[in-house]
Amino acid sequence: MSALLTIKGLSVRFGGVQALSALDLEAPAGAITALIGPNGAGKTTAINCVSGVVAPDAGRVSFDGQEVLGLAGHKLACLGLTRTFQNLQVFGLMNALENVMVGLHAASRGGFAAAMLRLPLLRREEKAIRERAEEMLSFFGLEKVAHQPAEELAYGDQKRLELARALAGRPRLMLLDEPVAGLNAAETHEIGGLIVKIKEQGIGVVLVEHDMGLVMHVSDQVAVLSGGVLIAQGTPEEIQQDPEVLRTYLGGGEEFGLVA
Amino acid sequence: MSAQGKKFFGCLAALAAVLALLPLVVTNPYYLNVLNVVALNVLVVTGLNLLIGYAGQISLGHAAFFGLGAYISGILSGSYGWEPWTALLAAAVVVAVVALVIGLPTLRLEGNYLVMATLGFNLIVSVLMVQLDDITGGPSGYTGIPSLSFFGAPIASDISFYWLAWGAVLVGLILARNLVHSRVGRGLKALHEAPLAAAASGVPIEAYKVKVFVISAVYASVAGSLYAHYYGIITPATFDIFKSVELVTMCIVGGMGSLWGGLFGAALLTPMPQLLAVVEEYKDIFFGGILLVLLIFLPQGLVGWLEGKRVRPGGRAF
Amino acid sequence: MAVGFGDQLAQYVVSGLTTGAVYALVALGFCLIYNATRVVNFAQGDFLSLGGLMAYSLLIGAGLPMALAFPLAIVAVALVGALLERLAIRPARSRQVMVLIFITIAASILMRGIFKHLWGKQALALPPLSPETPLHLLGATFTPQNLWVLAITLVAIVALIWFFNRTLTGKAMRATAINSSAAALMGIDAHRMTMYSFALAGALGALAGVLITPITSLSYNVGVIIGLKGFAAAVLGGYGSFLGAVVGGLVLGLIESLTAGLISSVYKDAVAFVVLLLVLFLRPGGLLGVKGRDRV
Repeated sequence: MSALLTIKGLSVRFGGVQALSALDLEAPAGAITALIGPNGAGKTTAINCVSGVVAPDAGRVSFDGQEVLGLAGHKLACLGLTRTFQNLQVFGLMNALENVMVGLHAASRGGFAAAMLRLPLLRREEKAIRERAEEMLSFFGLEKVAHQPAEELAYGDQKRLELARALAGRPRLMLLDEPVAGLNAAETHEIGGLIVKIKEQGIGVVLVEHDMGLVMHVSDQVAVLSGGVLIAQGTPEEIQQDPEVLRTYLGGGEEFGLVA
Repeated sequence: MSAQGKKFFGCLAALAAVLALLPLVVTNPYYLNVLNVVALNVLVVTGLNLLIGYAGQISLGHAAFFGLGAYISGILSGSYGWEPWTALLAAAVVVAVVALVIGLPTLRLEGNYLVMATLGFNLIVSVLMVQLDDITGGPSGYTGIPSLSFFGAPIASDISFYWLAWGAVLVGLILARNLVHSRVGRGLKALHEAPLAAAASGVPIEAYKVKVFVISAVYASVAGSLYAHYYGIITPATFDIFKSVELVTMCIVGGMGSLWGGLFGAALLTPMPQLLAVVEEYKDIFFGGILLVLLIFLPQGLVGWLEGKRVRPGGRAF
Repeated sequence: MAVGFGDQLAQYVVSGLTTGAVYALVALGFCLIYNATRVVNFAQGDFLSLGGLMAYSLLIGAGLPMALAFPLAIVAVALVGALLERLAIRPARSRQVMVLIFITIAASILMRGIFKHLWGKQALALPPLSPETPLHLLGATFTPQNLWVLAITLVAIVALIWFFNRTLTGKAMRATAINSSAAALMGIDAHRMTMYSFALAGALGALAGVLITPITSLSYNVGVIIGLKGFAAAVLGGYGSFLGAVVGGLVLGLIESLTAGLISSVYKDAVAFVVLLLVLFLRPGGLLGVKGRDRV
């Protein structure tokens, strides 16, 4: 599988801290590439660089052969690259359905003039958007809360809502930033299953997570960051036996045996 | 049509009915005049609410856009003999370009820079209106602005302008509502709440903010042109920074971002200077005091409160 | 009498620095409140007016000596500033910056109404700090008041620097401005620190008023335009930065004075706002290149 997302030599410095040092990473389509590491290792920084939130000091990022660093943030969704956020960024006042409908913004066209004049193009698109959004809500088990304001949803539901929003526009690669943070074992297991289903649709996934059980269970490749530097990369089995990783991060490995 | 849509057009129809019947009851030209000014304020406030409620930005310069609409249209038709409707259109185009020039650099910055820029802009325009007296007539104003006409008949009386002004308001409300309940409106609400997530979903946040700003400026310009062609005389004092504050106050009193709130706020606050003129002495104390109490305890605005909107503590501020 | 160009220039510089110092004081007031609350305090100019008005009442009305009247006026306005925070900002149910900014605007309208009621609309004359015997230096003619303004502003700035760096309260205020939750965890009462910021801003505004109104004239709304120009000065220097406020104030004063003198005095009042717009368009971080504080 050729790489869909290629990161080369990505470096970021925040004041006195080197958050990322020459990171090289590839994420193919139809596979789950995990990015793990202790807090402050630079995982979210890497995601922020790719999604245009942070401008790196050096390096290149290409998505499907196209250079994407420096592109305005909103263009990435049009290219098929979406993300979720570590600190939830749902649109609190809008209901669940509307949140997911925003996820389809890149997939639709009507502009200001069309909107104000309520042109037929817009009305047709709106119908399609609504249907797809409802489909997404079903996929994530959120139909019951479709018309509730997003800020009133349970934490787990809000996490799933972000996923639904990111998936709605049929992206080719999704950057998931700690999608199961704060969830219990059952919810984590459920989301893990959904992520695998997403991958099976041919969508690439970059998964930043702390939950080792989930990571080792679903990932095809695991990259380990520590202090902004990539210290190991390989399959889950390889990573769990890598001495460098065990030393700096997994702490011996006993408690991180193969968890179903 | 959705339930919300039915509710909106229902209210709109009710409003239209009331407006149609009102002149039968209100024949005194003084009160008709007040209603006309209310209409023009509603028009400006509708545009302003789009900016405040959906782009999350405040402008303290809308009186300047209103004034530019008045002066440009007035001068083009008064000094240069342009047909008034064409002059109105030209003024709207010029104001749109000016808003673009101001909005592009300031709206790409995070934070409330637009407040500052529009404030400065309004102050500059006020100075220019007074100082460029060869063109504008200076502090005593510009006179001799021709009325608009409808198929040859001049719209010069209070009652004929009433139909025009409130007709414009209805059209303005419908266009605004269409915008709000569309993909674009969703995008605007999203960018207001969580800009990063909105961008990640494909909403072009800078472009949208600028477009909303331009549209709100055009609403103000059209209202200003109508104002000029109604009164025939305009003076710089009408378009100063205090007028900008009044306009935003109308939005806030009614409920920021609420279209009906804007209507309510404008209807409530427009006649107030006249009512309070009786106690001219205490006008500012009264106005400032009421505004202060409302803002502290009822920030969702009167209409927002009636609609049962909870107060959002909002923002991280402090 | 033909005045040499060099002399004229010196004149403009002197008057520019004088108003510039006052702008700096006003700008510092904005800076303090912005750093504590992210709010643009539109009542800042009214603190200036009130400073002058109270000084007038204490001096002329109550017959107090200047050395007592002026400091008392400043303290009184500091109290008003604290009241503004305590009664209008703190109880506000919405913490959105937009709403809070508007609360300061409403407070400003209310305050001006009260001033108009208590002091009337006419212009009042506040005497300068010392007799106005003209001085001549390097070709410029200026009055002792110019010197007072510059000297006292300098003292005020030094005092502020000392306060924020050497006193516990000052450091607590800075801590609260940087991270109010962390400060709270350290036992610092964030609300009280914010109130102190408002009080200090009030004092600075009043000081500016007491210094400048002998030169410009005093009335219930004298502070409005000066306040807005002080704001432009803060943005010019770098909004939110202490040094930026000082630099911005002085530079704006100079630009205004030189433009009025060398180009045209008719557009003098617009100069500050043209500068404001230019800064926002070309270099939003101001002369000192202050970066925005918003983070992901």
